[in-house]
Amino acid sequence: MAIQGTRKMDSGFAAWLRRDLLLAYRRRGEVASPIVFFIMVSTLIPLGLTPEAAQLAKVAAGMIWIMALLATLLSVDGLFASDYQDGSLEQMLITPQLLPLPILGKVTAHWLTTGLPLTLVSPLLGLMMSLPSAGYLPLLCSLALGTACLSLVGAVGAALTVSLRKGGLLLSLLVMPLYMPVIIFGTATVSYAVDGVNWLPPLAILGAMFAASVALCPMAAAGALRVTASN
Amino acid sequence: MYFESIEALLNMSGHGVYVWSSVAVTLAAMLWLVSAPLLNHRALLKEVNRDIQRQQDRELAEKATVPTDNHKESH
Amino acid sequence: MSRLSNWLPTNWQWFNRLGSPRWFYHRSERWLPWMSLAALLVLATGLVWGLAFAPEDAKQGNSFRIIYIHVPAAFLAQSGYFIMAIAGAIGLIWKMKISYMVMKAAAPIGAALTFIALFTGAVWGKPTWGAYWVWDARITSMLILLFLYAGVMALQYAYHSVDAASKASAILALVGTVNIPIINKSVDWWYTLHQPATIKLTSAPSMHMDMFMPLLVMIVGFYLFYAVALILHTRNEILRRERKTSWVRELATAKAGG
Repeated sequence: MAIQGTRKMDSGFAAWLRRDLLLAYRRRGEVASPIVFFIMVSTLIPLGLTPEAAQLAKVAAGMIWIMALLATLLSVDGLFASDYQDGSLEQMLITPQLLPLPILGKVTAHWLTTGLPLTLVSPLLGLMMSLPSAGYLPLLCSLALGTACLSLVGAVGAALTVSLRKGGLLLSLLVMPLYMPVIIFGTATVSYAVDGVNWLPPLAILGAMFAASVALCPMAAAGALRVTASN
Repeated sequence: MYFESIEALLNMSGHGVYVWSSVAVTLAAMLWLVSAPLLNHRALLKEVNRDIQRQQDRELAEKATVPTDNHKESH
Repeated sequence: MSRLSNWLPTNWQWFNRLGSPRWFYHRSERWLPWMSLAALLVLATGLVWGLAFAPEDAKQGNSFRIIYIHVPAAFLAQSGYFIMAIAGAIGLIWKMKISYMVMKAAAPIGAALTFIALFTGAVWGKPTWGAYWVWDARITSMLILLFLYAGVMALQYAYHSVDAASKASAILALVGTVNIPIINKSVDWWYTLHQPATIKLTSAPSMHMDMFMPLLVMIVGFYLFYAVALILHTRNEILRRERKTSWVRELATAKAGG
């Protein structure tokens, strides 16, 4: 057999990103449910606490962040699930490309279809919960970075539980402790701004967490998939 | 001893309930952590014996259902 | 594993041999008696010393004596998680079965110690701050540690294949280990954000020697206790996983007959 010329191989990131975005577009209804959940559950807060604007303003930042976290948690379960069921996950495992990069492509698509919409809808929720005006920009920035961290860390949990039948609940249990630093600094960013203090330091820490997650989580998820997906 | 009497030790100037309940719960948990494996150890060995017994019974049953003596050679 | 032993010089054979569950099972039988005795003596000494002989605290009175249980338990709960993660890492890197067994055994022990730390911390809080549950940095970090332990244990039991369960839990334990310093620092920071006056329950450097010595003894005692519990649980795990081997069967028949 003649020796083939070497072709430059792409990393797989763009291909899997495009694929997942296309699949999400075809399942628009399913993909929209975390955002709908986010908006609807936010109605529960005044019903459960109080309709008074002053009281709501005090808890607005924290509550919006908690709702965003829960919505992301619900959606991250499906990151690898459908691929595992139809066999494309196995294809991903045997391609010559380094596994972390296709995973990063998938996680990016997940953030674009979950985290980013949540971030863009959050000012509306801020309005409904009487968030002080100083808090809107910090809310957008912290949610943008924070939901990206949540998607990345959630991918590790999803990889660890992909082959289990009732994996969703276990997934929540596994990633919840890992989500806690993100929410601490996320809400702090908004609280600082509302109190009139410089809100860039907690945002910077959030940025550091994001950088660390981008570097480490795909590798951890890849390792986990190699263990669980062939189970 | 820091306290004048055993009663004072138990009472600890009003805080005795807190201190002694902590001690009690801790000792109970620590006792459970060592006694549970010891009990399980015996149960595990019994289970292995049961497995061995079951396998021997199965082998005996197989031998009993073999029709002729010639087949015994192939064991 | 036989290739590895060709690599290692003979005086590293102990590492190779340690990987054999059977060797560990038989060797640990000899360690247990004196370790248990040591643990018992040290714990008894520390407890009697701390509860009955140490002086009381100027601010908290006698309730501070709970420190002699709370701090060692919290210490071991954290160390126990790292021990579990290291065992998982050794299992992943060197593919040692016994390492995975130690990791599985370490999980419930650590979780129980975390519970002890939480319970004693809560009970201590009542006379000190007036409430059983106060969201201070230490107790919150302990609670998150309990969730981390629960996650590892849940993952272990979710998989039917022992191999997959071991590897997945090892990965999770390592992910948790990386996160523990991040979580602790975040919670510390979060607490100072909302309560500027940090009340330190245990300020070790400013503790009087008479109060500090029994604490050291208790920490040593807890470590010995942890080792005993870990060996006991690991031995059972060995029996469970190696039940089809001939040496386990011989052991069982010997015990039944003898």
